[in-house]
Amino acid sequence: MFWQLWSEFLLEWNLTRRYWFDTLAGLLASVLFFYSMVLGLENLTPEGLASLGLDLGPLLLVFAAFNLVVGTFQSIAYSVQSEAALGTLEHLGLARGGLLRQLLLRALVRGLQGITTSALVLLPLALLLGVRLAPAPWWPLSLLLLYLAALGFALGMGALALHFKRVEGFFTIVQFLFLPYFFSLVRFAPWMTPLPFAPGTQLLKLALTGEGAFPGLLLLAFVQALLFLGAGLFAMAWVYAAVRRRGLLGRY
Amino acid sequence: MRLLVQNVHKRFGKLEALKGVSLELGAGEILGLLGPNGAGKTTLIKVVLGLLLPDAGEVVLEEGGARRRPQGHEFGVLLEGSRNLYVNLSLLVNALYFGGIRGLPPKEVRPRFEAWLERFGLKDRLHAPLASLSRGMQQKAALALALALKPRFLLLDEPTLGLDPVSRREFEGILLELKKEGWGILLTSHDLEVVERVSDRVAFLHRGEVRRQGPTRALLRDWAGEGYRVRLAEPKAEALLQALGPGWSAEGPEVLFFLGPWEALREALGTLPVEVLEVSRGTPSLEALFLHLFGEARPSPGAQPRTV
Repeated sequence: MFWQLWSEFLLEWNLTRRYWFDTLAGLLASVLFFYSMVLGLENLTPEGLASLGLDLGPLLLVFAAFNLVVGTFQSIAYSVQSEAALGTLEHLGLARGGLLRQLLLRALVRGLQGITTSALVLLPLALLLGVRLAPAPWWPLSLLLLYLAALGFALGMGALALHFKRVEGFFTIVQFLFLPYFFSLVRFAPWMTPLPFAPGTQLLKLALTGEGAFPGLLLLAFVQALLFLGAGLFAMAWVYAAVRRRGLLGRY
Repeated sequence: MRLLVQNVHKRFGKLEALKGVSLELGAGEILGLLGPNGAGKTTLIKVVLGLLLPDAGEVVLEEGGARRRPQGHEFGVLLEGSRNLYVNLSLLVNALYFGGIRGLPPKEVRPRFEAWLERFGLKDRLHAPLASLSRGMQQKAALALALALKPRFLLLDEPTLGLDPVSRREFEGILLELKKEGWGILLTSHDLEVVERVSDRVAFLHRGEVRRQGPTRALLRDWAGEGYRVRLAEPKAEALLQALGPGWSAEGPEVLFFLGPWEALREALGTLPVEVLEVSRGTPSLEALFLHLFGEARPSPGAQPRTV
């Protein structure tokens, strides 16, 4: 399994190196997107965001969580789609342990890249907007739980891509739904706790502002991550078997 | 060690793509899988690889008395109509990546891949992106990778596609060497001369059924029987094929082969606009047999192959 993971690092590194301009532009786009949103809101409210009861710190952290979840949930599906378009998807199916294992390893590598990207978006924005971050020692755990829930969702989306191959249109809808959804988590209320990604996002927010963890929230985030992962794995395995039965794996 | 395909059935909607196909491939053996387009060759290869699940039947690897389902990573593969490699990455990165996903470390894959590239005259393109190579070179690179992975069995679906005649001849030599080294190779190709020269056995697949299989020479002799080789005074064999009916094939510019009864040959010879130098009896080439079976005189569904 080590060399399979190493292969995905090799691939990612070579693709990033080859398309460095696009990688940089993507980072800049994320920073600009959030910054222009904040500027827009401030222009609309001359008294400032505080008058709306909004604090820039949580807003920024929720945006980082949104970035991570959106980046992760698309990763497997886009791998499937691009491999099918290139004509190499069936070769991934010949990986040791099969397609599912290789796609998971790729998602892990892309997840690490996504976390790095989110950090690279978060830090300049925090500096630019004067937001002070005070990460608590347990922040990696909150990040991991949110990431695992996003990975479970990504597996479900990957299952869709295995069957339909082109799913960009659907993903645009999901992204547009996610944007207001995540920003509604800025003003977190207890009733939101069981909502998808809510406990993980709230945990991340608390962790990066140096607050203490709530065991109940931690447990919920953990259970949600497990549920999402389990459902995602089941969906992916089921669809993988179905496309192999119907001869749809290599088709684009 | 043997790879066994046992009574495999596969249906896509109303199309029955494979109807109880059974094949066997041993180590140190080349099996030529032949058939017209749509016969089910690629479907069968994908079933063997586990990329398609059969409706019935199984694929088994038999080794030292133990039987198990082979895993996809145990095969070296060239898939027709598939890119096989990433076009935007270098040959080396492709080799290390596809070796890695099969659990092979770079120190094993790289020297073998470089050695095969050298053999194919592509060593200097190791760091070049695949997209900068011609179609034939890309095919050679994919083949070099399939060989570098040192699998138990090689499944080659149209491996000579895009190769120039020199490379094709070299490829033949490589296949024969691999066979001597003990590799088991399943080869599908419309380049029947290559298949005839390298295959120990051939299997004819038609409409999802194996119509006949066996040792290449014996099959040609026993199944097809003998035909007639017609040597012409002028190099017009290809041109004449248009006018001649089923059963005829060209074996060279001045040589025609007829697979059919003597009476039909005698009748056709009378109408030939070219002087005939010699007529002799002989075993047909694989191409002649293929054309006879699947050419203009396509057998009707369910018909038995014609024996002459």
